[in-house]
Amino acid sequence: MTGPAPEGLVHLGLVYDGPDDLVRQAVPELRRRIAAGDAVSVTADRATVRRVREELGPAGERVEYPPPSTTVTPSEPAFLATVRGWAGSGRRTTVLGCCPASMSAAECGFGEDALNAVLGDLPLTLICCCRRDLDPGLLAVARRTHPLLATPIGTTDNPDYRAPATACPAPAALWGAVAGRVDLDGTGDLAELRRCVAAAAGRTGLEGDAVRAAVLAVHEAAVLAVRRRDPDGPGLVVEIRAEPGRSLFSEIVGPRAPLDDHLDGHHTDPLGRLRPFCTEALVLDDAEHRAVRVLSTM
Amino acid sequence: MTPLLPVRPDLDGATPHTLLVADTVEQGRRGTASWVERELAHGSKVYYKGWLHEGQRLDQHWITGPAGPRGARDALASGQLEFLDFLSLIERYGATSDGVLTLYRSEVERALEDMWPTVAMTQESPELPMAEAAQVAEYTTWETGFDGLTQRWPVRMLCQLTVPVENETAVWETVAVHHRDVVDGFWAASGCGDRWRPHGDLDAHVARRFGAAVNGALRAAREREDGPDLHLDLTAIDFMDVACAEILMLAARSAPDGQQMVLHGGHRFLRRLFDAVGRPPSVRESEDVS
Repeated sequence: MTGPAPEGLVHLGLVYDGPDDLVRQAVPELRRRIAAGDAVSVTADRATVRRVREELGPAGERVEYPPPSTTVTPSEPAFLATVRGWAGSGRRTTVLGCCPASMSAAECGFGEDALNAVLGDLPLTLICCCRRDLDPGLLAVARRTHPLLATPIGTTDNPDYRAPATACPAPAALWGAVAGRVDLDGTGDLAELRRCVAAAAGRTGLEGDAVRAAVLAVHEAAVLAVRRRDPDGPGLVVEIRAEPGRSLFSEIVGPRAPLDDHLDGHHTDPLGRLRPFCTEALVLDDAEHRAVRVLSTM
Repeated sequence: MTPLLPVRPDLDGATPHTLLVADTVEQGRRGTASWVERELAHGSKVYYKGWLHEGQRLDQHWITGPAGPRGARDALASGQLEFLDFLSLIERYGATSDGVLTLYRSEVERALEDMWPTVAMTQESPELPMAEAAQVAEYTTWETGFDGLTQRWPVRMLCQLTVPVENETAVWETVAVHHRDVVDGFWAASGCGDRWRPHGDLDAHVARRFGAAVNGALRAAREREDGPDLHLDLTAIDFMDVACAEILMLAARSAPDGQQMVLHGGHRFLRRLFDAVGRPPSVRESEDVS
C-alpha cells in the first residue's frame, strides 16, 4: 500500500506455505510501514524471525520481535483488550502475528469478527498469518475475516472476505437463531424484554450471574435506546438471538437519534462506546449503525 | 435457576392502607375494580370517592359501567357500595386534613353501627396541586390519619394514584407517604417491623417512583423511636437496573449525618451493582448477611 498512511484499522490476512513464503509476502508491507514511521513488531517462531530480520536488513533493527508466548491469540478472551493496547503507543503501529494451529476455528472467528466490528478506528495495521496446511476450518476463518490480503505486490482486496450484513454489522459468528422479538415503545416494555432475554439466555446455556448480567446489559442498552428515540416516531424492535452453548446476541434497531454530548466526547476512543458490565456481557453503543448492541459470550 | 422475573405483584397480600399506582387510567381502573370486587365479595361496606365531571351522573361513572367491578350496580342499590364525588366532599368538608378525616371517621362509624363486618374505602387519584409545602403537609396528615383508621377499626384503604393525571410533586409525595405499602406494576414495597422491603422488578420505568418511596422510607425511619437507620430488606427484589441502584445509593448518600442504610439479604449481584454505581459509606451490610 502506498500513499498516505491509513487512518483506521488495516486488517490484513496472509496465507503462506512456509517461512520463506511468509517472508516473501510480508516483508514488502513491513518495509512500507517501517518507512512510514510505524512502531512495528513481528511475533513468530525463531526461524521465521531470523528470516524476516535477514530480509529487512538494517530496517529490521527498528522492529521488535516479542516471543509468541507473550502475545494473545484471537481465540483468547483478552484479545480485544490486547489489540487495543498495541495501538496505545501514540503513533501508528503494525503488528505481524502467526495463527497457532491449536486455536479453535469458532473462537478465532469470534475474535477476528469482533476486531472488525468494534476496533475499526484503531491506528493499527494487523497482519495475521495463517499457514495453508492448518486445519481447514481455521483456514476458512482466516479467509473470511480479513478484508485485505498482504501480497508481495502490496495489499489487495480479499475476495473471500465476508463482511457482516450492511444493515447489521455485528460479528456474523455471533448470530444464532432468533429467540425472540420485542417491540419497544417505551420503558413500560422493558419487563417483557427482560423476560425474553432471560429465557433466551437460559436456552443458550448461561446460568446464574451470567444470565443476570446479560439481562441487565440488554436492559440498559434498551434504556439508552428508548431515551434517545423520538417519542413521536416509530418504535424500536429488539431482536434476541441465541446460539446454544456459545453466545447470546441482542440488537435494538430503530430510528437513529443524535448522540448526546457525553457520548460524542468518546469518539476518539474506539472503546468509549463499549460499556462493560462483566466478563460475560458488554454494550456497544454504535450510532453510525443505528443500533445499540449487546454481545454476551460464554 | 431462580426466576429473574417476578410474578406480577398484586393486592392479595396488601396491608390495610395501600397505594395502587397506575401508568394509565385503564390500568388503574382494572386494579381498583378487582379490589372493590373482592371487598364486595367479602361482605365489606365499600365507600368509593371519585370524580364526576361536568354534569356526569353516577350511572355514567366508569365504576357502574362494563369496566367497573362486577356487582357494583347492585351494591349501589343495596347500599353496600356508596359513592361520593370529590366536589361534594370538598364542598361539605373542605380539602383539609381535619375535614377529610372527619368524613372518613364518620363513614367508618356509620358502617360499623350498621353491622358491616369490615369497611373498605378507596378514592381516585385526587389531583391535588401540592404546589406549596402546606398542601403537602395537609395531605401527609390525612394519610397518617388513614393509618390510624386502619389500626383502630377493621378498615382497608386503597389509595389510587393515576400518574398521567398528577403532577410530579404529587406523584413523588404520594408514593413517599405510602412507601410502606405500594403496588406499582411489576414492583411493590411493604414495611414489616423495622424493615422496608421492596419487591419485584425495579427499573428505569419506575425509577422516580422508587426514589420517592426510598426517600419516604428514609424520612419515616428518622422519625421512628428505633431510628434513624433504614433497614432495607433486599430479599424480594428480582431485578434492579442501574437507574434504581443509582437512586438508592444517591438517597443513602444524601441522608443526614448519622443516618445509615442497612442492607439485609438479597442477591450478591445487587451488591456488585451497588459497588459499580458507587456505594457511599452510609450504606452498610447488616450482620445477618450471608
